[in-house]
Amino acid sequence: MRFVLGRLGHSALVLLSVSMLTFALIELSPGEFFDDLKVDVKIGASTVETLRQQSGLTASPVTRYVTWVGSVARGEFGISLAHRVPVGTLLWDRARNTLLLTVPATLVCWAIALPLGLWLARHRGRWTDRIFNTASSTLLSLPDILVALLLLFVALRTGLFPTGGMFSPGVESLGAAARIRDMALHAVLPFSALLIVLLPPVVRHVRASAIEAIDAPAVRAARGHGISGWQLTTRYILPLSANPLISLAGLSCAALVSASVLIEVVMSWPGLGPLLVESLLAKDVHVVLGASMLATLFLVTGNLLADLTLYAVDPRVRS
Amino acid sequence: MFIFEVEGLTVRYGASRGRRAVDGVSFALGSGEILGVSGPSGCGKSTMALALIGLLPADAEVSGTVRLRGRDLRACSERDRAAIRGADVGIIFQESALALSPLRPVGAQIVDVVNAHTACNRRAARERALQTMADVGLGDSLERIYESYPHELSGGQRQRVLIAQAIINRPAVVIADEPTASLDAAVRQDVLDLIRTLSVRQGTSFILISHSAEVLASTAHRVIEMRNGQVVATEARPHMAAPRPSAPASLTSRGPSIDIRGAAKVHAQRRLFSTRHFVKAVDGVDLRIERGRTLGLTGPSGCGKSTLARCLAGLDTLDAGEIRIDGRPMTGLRGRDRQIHRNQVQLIFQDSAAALNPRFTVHDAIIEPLVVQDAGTRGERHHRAIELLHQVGLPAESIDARPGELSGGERQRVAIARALATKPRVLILDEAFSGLDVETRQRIIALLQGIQATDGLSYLCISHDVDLLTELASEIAVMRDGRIVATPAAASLPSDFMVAVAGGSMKVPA
Repeated sequence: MRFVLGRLGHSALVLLSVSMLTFALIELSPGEFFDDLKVDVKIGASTVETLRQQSGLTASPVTRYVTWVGSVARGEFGISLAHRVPVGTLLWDRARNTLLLTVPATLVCWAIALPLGLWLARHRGRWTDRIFNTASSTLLSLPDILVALLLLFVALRTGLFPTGGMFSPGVESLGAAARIRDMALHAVLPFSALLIVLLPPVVRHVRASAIEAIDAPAVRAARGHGISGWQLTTRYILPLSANPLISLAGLSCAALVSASVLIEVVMSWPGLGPLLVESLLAKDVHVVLGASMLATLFLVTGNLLADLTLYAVDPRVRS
Repeated sequence: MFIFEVEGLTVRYGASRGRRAVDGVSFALGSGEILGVSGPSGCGKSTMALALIGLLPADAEVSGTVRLRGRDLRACSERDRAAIRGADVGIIFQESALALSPLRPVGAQIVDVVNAHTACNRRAARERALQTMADVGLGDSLERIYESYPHELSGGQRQRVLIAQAIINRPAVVIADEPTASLDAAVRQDVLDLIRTLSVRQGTSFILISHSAEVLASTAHRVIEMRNGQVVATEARPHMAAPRPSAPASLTSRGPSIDIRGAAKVHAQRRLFSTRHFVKAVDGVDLRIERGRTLGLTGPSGCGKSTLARCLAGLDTLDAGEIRIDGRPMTGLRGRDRQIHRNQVQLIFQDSAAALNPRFTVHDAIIEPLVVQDAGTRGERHHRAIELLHQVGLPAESIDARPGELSGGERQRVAIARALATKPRVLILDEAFSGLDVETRQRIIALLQGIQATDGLSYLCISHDVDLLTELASEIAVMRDGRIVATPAAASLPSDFMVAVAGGSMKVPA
């Protein structure tokens, strides 16, 4: 219990410091939301000044930070300058779309990576292992954007999958089942792109930790007692290689909101990615701040979960 | 007949194909034999151990043959080898802190070894694990140890867990790679005792790898020395008895070893003015002890236990009745025959310090019975003394010690060695454990049980301690006023009943 409380306090502290740092960084970067209006000859300087005042941009940075923290407490996370709605609701809609993409991708990624990594480790040095190593290095060295573009190219040429957006036009008139089906079809490309990007490093990590576990004296001893196959894998190799993998799983939890930014933009999936890019270009301060905080929140939660899992799994940590 | 044969075993590693980690090693192992392997670190001992059971990494290049009961293990598939490992060939690794998974309770890890080889339900496997844990001396609070994680146990306990894993499926051969390297001296002695006991009791052969000459000298029957992957010397140990293959099988089948019928002994007390006063010390006692068995004898002081023991040992004669040993009547023997009788029955007393002449060395004390009989030459007697020391688990160096330099437990071991010198059929243990602390007592008991299992000795164990007798004896006779009043099987005994009988405070129906 004390362990949990300690970790929670630690997490809260991280969140607070990240919010301050991000706020300071945005503050220090040149330009602001209304700069575009200033160069427009049709709009007078006084109008711009009034707009700035209305949006609270004329107050001192400290005052603005405190105001922002207050709005966080109300669940608003400030007001978006471009959309004129609380950032909270805006982020939530977009985050939901992103999670619809990333959660299944991450789950499938681990579901493939665990057995594949273990299998590769147990059959280390065979031709299958060498082929995978080559393939995964190739995939690792491909930039995300290239993977996305390649998939788009294939989809366009074959016409099998829709190449952008989340729904077909006019989907509102359809029933619930048909809408879900339509969305799933639209999700195939970004999902595949995401999986191709996520999978190789995870498999590599699983393989590496499993190899380390297989070479550990405890596993060699278990083999010496004739323990083999499924029993050896599930009771010895997997638990012994779990520590680094649990930490990695925590990190991939953190990546849930950030891993797909680029792919969403390229494939025009209405998630956090496009919103973030828009807001950055427009200097929509509160949205950028909110999105960063959301990413940090996921990171902190992921790490917290990883720590708690480790605590539950490893008797040495407990005592 | 060899159970395990190794011929020209050679191992080369991927990185250094030129250098041979193990270079043409050959040896053969008999049933129940303990083969020591010595040599400096890096000489290839451990690599050889792993090569024997096919546990080397894939990049190692192995050649030569390893045969278990004539079957070539190197020609087996990996699946077959996995079936052999842990079932026919057990292995004990050196670092108990590393050889167990830190994430699993040790009980589960012992059960895993059972499950890997036999389809066995959960409860049965657990029972078997607990039994084996008791066998390897994880005596107290078995359940707690069963549930413990390795880091919660001491080094000695972990090492015993490893031994339990290695022997739970009763393998014919156990490879022990430095099993005592990380243990302190007392625990080390226990573990070596355990290995010796297993080799005599279950006929398990051991390949005992150790860099310690002391460990090998006190335990191994034969030692091969390795250097740079090669066997450079084989030290046959001539003073060691050759291992007896599967000794215990035929021990109990040949009728009673001791058969006492209607034994009676009257002490006559002469008073000053000729009045005679008779005490019936032993009054019509019938007792049988099967070959290789232990009979417990208890009863209040003055009930006639010791008189009976003295008669059995030939130190006193019966007034009536007869004693047969291995079927031959021993009553009324004279001269040389009586001497032979005495050699067949030996007594071990409570106070071993008093029983040993303080001026005699251990060597002198042990060979004294042989000197008295004028048996063997000087050299033969010396060899016999070393052999006996080994049998009772004392290092050969202690041969020149005097009783004063030894601990109570060690003196009792010397007393046992001395009693065994004439190759007796029967040992009478007259309160032989009373002066010893619990731990030493357990070790001496284990030692005696090991000797009994190999040599088929019969024991008559006299004690007031009923718990001790229930542990040691299969049957217990209760004596009172010169008669046997009850002979219940030890297992069926309510212990408070026995305590009352032994203390003489309770009337027992005859």
